[in-house]
Amino acid sequence: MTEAITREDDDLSTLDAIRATFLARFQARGTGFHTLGEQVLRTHANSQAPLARPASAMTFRNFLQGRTTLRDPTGLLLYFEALGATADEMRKIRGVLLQEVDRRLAAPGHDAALRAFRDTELNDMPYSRALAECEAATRFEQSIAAPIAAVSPTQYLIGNPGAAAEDGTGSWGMLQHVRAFKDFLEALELRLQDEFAAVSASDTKKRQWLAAAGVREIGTAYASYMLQYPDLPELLMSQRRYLLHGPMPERERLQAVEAVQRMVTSMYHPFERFAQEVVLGGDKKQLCRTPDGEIALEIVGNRLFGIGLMFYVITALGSTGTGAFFVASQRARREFAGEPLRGPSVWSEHHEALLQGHEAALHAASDMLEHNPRVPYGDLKAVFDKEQVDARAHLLGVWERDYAPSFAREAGVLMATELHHRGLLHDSALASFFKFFLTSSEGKRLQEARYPTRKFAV
Amino acid sequence: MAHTPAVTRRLAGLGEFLRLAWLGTLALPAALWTLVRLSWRRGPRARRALVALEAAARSREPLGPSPLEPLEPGLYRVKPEYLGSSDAAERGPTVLHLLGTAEMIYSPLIGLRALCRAEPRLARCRHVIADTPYEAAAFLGADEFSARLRRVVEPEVLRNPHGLVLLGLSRGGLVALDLGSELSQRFEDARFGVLSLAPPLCEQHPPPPTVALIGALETITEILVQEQNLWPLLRPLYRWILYRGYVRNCALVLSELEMDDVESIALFGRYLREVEPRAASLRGTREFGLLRRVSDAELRHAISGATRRASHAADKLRATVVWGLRDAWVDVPPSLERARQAAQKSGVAVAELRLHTLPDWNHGLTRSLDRDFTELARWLREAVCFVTAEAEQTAREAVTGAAS
Repeated sequence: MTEAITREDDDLSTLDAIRATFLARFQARGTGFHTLGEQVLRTHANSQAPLARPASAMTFRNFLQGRTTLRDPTGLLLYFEALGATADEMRKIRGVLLQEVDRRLAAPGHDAALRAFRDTELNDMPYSRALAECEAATRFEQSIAAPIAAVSPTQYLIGNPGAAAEDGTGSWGMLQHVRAFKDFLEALELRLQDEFAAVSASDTKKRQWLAAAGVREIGTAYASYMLQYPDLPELLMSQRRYLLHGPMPERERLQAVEAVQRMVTSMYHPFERFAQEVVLGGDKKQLCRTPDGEIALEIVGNRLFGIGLMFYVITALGSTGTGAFFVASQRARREFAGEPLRGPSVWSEHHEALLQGHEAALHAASDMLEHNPRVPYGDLKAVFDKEQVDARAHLLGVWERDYAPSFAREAGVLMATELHHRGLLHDSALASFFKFFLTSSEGKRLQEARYPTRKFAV
Repeated sequence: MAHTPAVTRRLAGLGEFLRLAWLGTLALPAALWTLVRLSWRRGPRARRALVALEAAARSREPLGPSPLEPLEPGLYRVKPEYLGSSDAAERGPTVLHLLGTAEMIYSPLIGLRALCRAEPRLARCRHVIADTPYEAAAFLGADEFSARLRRVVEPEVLRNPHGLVLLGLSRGGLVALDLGSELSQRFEDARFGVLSLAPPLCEQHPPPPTVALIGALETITEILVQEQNLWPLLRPLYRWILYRGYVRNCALVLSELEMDDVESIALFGRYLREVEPRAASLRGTREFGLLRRVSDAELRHAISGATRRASHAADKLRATVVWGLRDAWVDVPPSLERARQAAQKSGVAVAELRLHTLPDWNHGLTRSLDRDFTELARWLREAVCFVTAEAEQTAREAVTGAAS
């Protein structure tokens, strides 16, 4: 009874309190650390449930005495159980240990887990050692294929705010990235709105042209931003690895959801104007603002959003690594380059430069390794960094040649079919829209509409 | 034959003139019918308001000191002396006033003074009025409007990281709910109080005749403004039409919403003397055009988004929504029902979102002077206290931290 009361009163809210409590319990038990270790190993061996592998008894002793760095706290849990921790106490202990790991990773001065990955240290390491460190950390994330970006949900979401001033976007988490992206798109959209609203409602042709040009402009802005800040798509399309090491901060998660919602709204506004002006011919009945109209816009918006991602995956990511995806997806275009074609030419100097540049970087890196197996990691990285910077202009060139010209056309076709599918556009209206948009000279003018100068700066 | 740009402009202007004539012919029967209906119902009161408004706008008397002090573009602080506060130092939190359709920067003042009389401690708060944007693009849609209004109020939001009270009427009430819930997510150690008055949460079918009438004038007003620049000789005529049209619309709205007391009319007259008539009349008709364009789906998104965020903002947001049951512009029972359903669906606690109705009150609520303001003042005071409790606690913690 006395023991139970004592346990209820034990403070387990901090790491030090846990240490003190369990040191006292260990001393009260009157056995040594080796005996405790054997008991823990037996429990682990006999358990049917998949328990985390226990740390050694000496590690547990060091932990109790405050002498060890906590990399993986799960190895200590069986020791607490062996010392009589109840289920409620175990829940508290797990919480505190995870918070401790989280805190240390987020604190710029104490990020022991990421110490090896600070740029300066990593750049000075021999290549082989940097590789070993990366491999160790990747295993720690239990995912060999994953690049090291962040190891806890906190870092994934809010990055390392303390270092933001010196480090620029490098220390940003997802929240800062999506906020910046939202501000960028919102500012562009306000500019597009101003131009559109300045034209009288009676000037249908100009309004249609501006709506079509706006669709292309927002698409180009989106693609350009992803190329400039590749961390954004990496974090936006996040994977399970970010969730494995601790709780997700709820407030920041909700803020991120809110920011992305507003970012998406800004992105879909030009599509809405396009649907109203071009596809629905003025939309006096406000069809786009009915539930069906909103759903149609959202579906088409998702697909157009996907075109930007497709470009990013096939061209930006597909042209790195082996470059195989980009090469494979452009076979016919490369094959028939320079031959007379009925349609516009499709293989440009940008496509070629992208492939050549990457191959040159791969060869340069291989040569460096061949000459000096202990080449500093930073030298090797510099080769690919330079390639990435050089490639940006070519990637934008590919966007302008392959994707941007058809963006308005695809928007029109997708929008008309979806509105028709949802009963907002009659058969005859759909047929006359296709005839106008795809075959008339005015329709071609709208498909090719683009602002002579960029309305945004990344 | 190539036309010079000036000739091309004139030709386009002629086209617009013909369009204006055509639109006028088309719109005339409907407009006349609406006017007849409105005159039948509210004729004498609207005429009295019009005469008083014109007299106030034409007055030659010097304007006198303004009750407002400009802060940033679109933001105005109410001078404490106007509210009868003898204490110049503002002690309470900031109350941010958001305007409804057809309102101007002086619109909240008379009601605010009455609220302060009913609850004197409200006069010690800092009161800031956010003006409606003038840009044409703000009236393309509800989202576009709210994005621009957010930019207007952002400096005031940043000045008050520990909390803010948002008080809005009609469209402003809806924005107050939306913004309040958003801010409660954005700021960690802050509390936000919202008093949302007569927010439209459902589309009304058919729209109120006044809204339909003024909204239908949007295109005609835009053409008139364009034409004014093209035909200098006709400029005085166009200007007269624009000005008269705007003043008539204002008088109609003020009388319909029972906001036509002497002081309100005087302040409206002051605004008419200060503002550029073209910009005011354009904004006036565009606001009503937007009101006609806003769809039921958008209103539904607004309230469901606000309640969803409120459900996550445990103890950081306290919102009170009030409607008058004799509202001329908002269909109250469906709006109330929608707010209830949204709150229930999101799991918002009853204490965090309180819904009230006032029998025999019109859409104007705090703008209708011949009323007992006790309850409205109490709800505003509750919002202020909710924010202050946290602000005081934060200040105490800061002092304790500094001392230790």
